[in-house]
Amino acid sequence: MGAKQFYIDPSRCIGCNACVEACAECDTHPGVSMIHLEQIQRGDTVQTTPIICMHCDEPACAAVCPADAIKRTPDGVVQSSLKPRCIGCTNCVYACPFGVPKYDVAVDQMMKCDMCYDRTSVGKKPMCATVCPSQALFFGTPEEIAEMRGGTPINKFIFDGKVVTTKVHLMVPKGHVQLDVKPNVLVRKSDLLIKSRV
Amino acid sequence: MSTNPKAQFKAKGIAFSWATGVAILILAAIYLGSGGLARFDAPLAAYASATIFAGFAIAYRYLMWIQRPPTWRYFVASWKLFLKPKRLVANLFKLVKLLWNNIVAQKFIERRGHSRWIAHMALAWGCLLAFAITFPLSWGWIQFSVAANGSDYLVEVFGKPTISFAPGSVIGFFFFNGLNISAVLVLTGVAVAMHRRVFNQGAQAVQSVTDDFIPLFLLFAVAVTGLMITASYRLMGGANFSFLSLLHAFAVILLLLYMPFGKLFHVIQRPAQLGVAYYKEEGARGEQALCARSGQPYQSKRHHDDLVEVMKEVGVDFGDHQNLSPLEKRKLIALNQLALKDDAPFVG
Repeated sequence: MGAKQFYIDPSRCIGCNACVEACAECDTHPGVSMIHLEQIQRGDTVQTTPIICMHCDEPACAAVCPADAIKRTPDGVVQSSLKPRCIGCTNCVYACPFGVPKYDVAVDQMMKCDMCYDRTSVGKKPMCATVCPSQALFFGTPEEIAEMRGGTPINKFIFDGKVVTTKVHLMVPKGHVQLDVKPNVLVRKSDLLIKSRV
Repeated sequence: MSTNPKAQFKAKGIAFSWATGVAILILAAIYLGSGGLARFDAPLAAYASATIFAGFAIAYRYLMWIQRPPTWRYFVASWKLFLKPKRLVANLFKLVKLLWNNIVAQKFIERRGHSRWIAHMALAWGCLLAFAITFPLSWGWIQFSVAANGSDYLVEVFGKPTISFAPGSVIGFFFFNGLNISAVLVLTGVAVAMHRRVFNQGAQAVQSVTDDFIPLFLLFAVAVTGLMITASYRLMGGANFSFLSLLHAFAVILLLLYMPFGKLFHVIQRPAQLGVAYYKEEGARGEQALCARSGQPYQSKRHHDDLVEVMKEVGVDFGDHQNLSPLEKRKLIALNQLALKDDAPFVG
C-alpha cells in the first residue's frame, strides 16, 4: 500500500459547506477556515468547488515571500507563514497560481491550508476529507483511489507554459496526465450547461 | 540576490562589507564612548566582544536577506514612498501610529490571542529593557560613581555626570533592580509561551526544537542565571558569586551569538512590516489591476506590476495567468477539469 495522499475532485462537489466548517476545527488554525468553496458561474450552473492548498513541490508563495516566512516540511507540506516573520505584504496571495493563501487583516498575516498538519503528520485524515459527503475531498492510498474511481489522479499543472507539480492530486478523466489551466476554456454564459448537455 | 553563483558571490561580498562596517562601528563606539577605554569595565569585556560578533552576524544576515529579489523590491519601494517630500510629514505621523500599534503595543499579536500577547509583550519588553541596561554598561558608556555629598550614586553617561540618587530611593530601587525586573518579565513570558508549546495541539504539530524551544531555553537560562546572581549576594552572602557570574555571562553570550541565526532575528526583520504599510497605502490610492476574466479590481496595479517582475526574477513566471484574480484562479481549476471530460457524464 502506498502512503496516503490527498485527492480532490471538483466535479463531485455538492457545495454543502461541510469542509468549510470542519476546516475551522483544525488545531493549527482553530476557529478560522482556510478552505475556499467557490461557486463557478452562478448564473449558469450550480457547480461549486473546494480549493485547498495543492502543496506545490516548488511553491511560488515561498519564492516571492520577502520575509522568507513560508516553509515546506520535509514531507512536502507547505506551511502557513511563520508568525514572527510574516509582514503581511500579500505577495503570496497573488502569486499562488491556485489562488489559495488567505491574508488576515486583523492579525496582519497570511494563513493557508496546511493539510491539517496536526492530523496528517500522524496519519489521520485532514478535517475536510473526514466530513466531505461526496468525497470530492478524499484522503487515502493510491490503491484505494484506483479501486474506487474511474478517473486518474494527476499532480502536474501548466499555467501559461509554466509547469507546477504538487503534493495534492486532482482527479481527471482517464487518459489525461496533466491539467493545462486555460483562462478561456469555458467562460461565456451557459457554456457549462451546453457542454455538459451535449 | 539570485541563484546565479556570480551574483551570489557579489551579494555575499556586499553583506560581508556592511557587516564588517557595523563591527568596526561598534568597536569605534565602544572606544570613543568609553573615553579611549578609560571607563571600559574589563570584567564585561566578554559581553562586549559578543555584542561585536552579534552586530557583525546580524548585519550580514540582514544584508543577505534584503538582497533577495522580493525583499529588495519592497525595501527600495517603501523607503522611496516614505521619503517622498510631499508626503513626508503625513508619513512621519503615520510612523508614530504604526510604531505604537505594531511595535510598542503589538496589537496584531493581541488579536491572535490574549495569552500569546501577554507572553510576547513580557518577552519583548523584558529583553529590550535588559539590552537597554546592559549594552551601554558593557560598552563603557555608562558608569556609576559617588556624588558630591559622598553618599549618593552618580550616573555618568559618556563620562559626563548626569543624575544622582540616594541608594534607598525609589529611583535607586529601579536602578539596582532593572535587570531583576527584566528577568521576571522574561520568565513570565517564557512560562506562558512554554505552556502553549507543551499543551496546545496545534503548536505541537508545527513547532520544532531548533526553531521554537531553543530560544525559550536560552532566554530562560539568561533570566535564571541573572536572578541567581542577585540571590547569591542578597540571600546567600555572596556564595558562588564568581561561578554564577561566569555562568550568566556564558548564557548571555550564547544568546547573543544565537540572535542572528534563529527565531530571534525577527526582531530585526519586523520593521519591514511598517514599510509594507506605506506600500499598501500608496497602492490603494493608485490605479487598480483588473482581473482578465472577471474584469473586477483585485490588487493594486503597482503591486501587480512589481510582483510580475519579482516572479520573473525568482523563476516562477506564470505569464498571463498572473493577470487573474485569486478568485478566478480558483474557479479555473474546476472549469478546466470540466473541460477535460468532454462527453463523459462525470470525471469518475
